[in-house]
Order: sequence, then C-alpha cells, then structure tokens
Amino acid sequence: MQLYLSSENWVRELLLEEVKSLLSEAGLSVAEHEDALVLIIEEEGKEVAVYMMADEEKRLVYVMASANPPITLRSATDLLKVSWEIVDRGVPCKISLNEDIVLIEHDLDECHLSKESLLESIYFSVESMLYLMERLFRKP
Amino acid sequence: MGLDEVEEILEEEGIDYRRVERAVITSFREGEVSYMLVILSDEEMTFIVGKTEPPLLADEELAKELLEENFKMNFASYQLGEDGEVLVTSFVRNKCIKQSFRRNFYATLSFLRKLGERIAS
Repeated sequence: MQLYLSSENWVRELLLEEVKSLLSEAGLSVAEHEDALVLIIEEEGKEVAVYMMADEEKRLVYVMASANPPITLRSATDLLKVSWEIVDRGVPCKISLNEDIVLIEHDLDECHLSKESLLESIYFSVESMLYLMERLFRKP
Repeated sequence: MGLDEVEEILEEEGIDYRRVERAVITSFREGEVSYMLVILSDEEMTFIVGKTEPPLLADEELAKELLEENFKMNFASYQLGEDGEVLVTSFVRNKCIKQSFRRNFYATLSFLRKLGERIAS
C-alpha cells in the first residue's frame, strides 16, 4: 500500500513537474502549496490566485482561478449569466462552485498540455475572473 | 479548418448534421425533448453550444446545483443565457480536435440529457 501511494504521488508530481517546467520555460516562477502550483496575479488593485493541480487517474491538469480574497456565492443565476457573457465574447469559461467559493476552471487533457495552451488557459481564467469581479461589484 | 474535421468526426459517428456557413448544427430528439448542438469555430478554437427545446429556465436553487455540478464534471459546463435558459458549452483547441472533440461532443450531449430528464420529470 505504501509502495502504491508513493508510486502514485511520484507520477502526480511528474505531471505537475511538467507544468512547472512549461511555466519556467515561459519565465514564470510558481509557488508550491500542498499538491498545487500557485501563481498570484495582480491587476489594477485586484488580485487573482491561479492554482494548477493534476489528476493522474484522469490524466488532466486543472487550471483554477479564484479571486484573492475569494468571492463567495451571492447569486448563482448572476454567476451563470456572466459566464455566458464571457463565452459569448469568444473566451472559454467554466464557472464553478466549491464549498461556496467561486472558481473559474479550465481542464487540460494531455493534448492541451503545451506551453502555449497552458499560458492561454491561465490568461483566460484570470481575464474571466477579473471580468466577473468587475460585473459583480460594479457600482450602479 | 476546425469545422471540416468536425464534419469528418460526425460522419464517422453516423450523426446527421447540417453546415450553415461557419457553423455545424446537429439535433437529437428524445421523447418530448430536443437537443440542439451548434458547433462554431475560429482560427484557434472550436466551441460547442448546446440547448434544449423546450428550454429549462433556472431559478436560484437550480443555478446553484449547476455551479456545483460544473465543479464535479469535466469537458463541458452549464451557463445561463440572457433569458435564464440553461445552456451547455464546451471548447476544444483546433490542434486537438482529432483527440478531444468526440469526447467533448458526447460530454455536452450528456449534460443536455441531464437537463432533459429534469424537463421531463
């Protein structure tokens, strides 16, 4: 059992190592927190945390953006409507809810695991989260 | 570029479709519910947008469930159109169409069928 867990962790690390290496090639250095790589991006006084996690069983990398501090759920219908607004502008977007925390998520399979796709997913997720923050907290 | 490959895949799958300018449209009917999938493509990316007929309108409780479902599921997601009807979207980068389109197409259809079950119940 111990051997199995060690082996699984080793493979998971390999997938995350690949992500880390792709980001490093792009000149980005990331922090590591538990099983995730973390990037903090600040723009116009707003902060977005991007978490990258790997699921070895599904061979997927998740790019997840959260506002920092996180946005909690106020109106689910508003969130899903803003999500469609973002898609309608030609930007892929999946808004999800994890224990009351709002996330923008991109799922990358192995074919999408390239430097270009990874950077684009980070860019899209951050842009989407900034747009979401702007829309939700815009003063009337 | 993306749509030609989409057409090839749909033909391989035996799925009827029609090409309308820069979109491929396909639809399925199951009982009283129809599912329409519109596939659009630009230079970089191919989008799948799915909807049900009749549309399913989401209240706050259903919208919260859909957001939670989005977290659990991969390759497609729920959104709400301007009028509050539930839509399903999915996207594939064109360079990965051969590897990933078929899976995302069926994921979108599966999400739509879940909506259809709610409509029928």
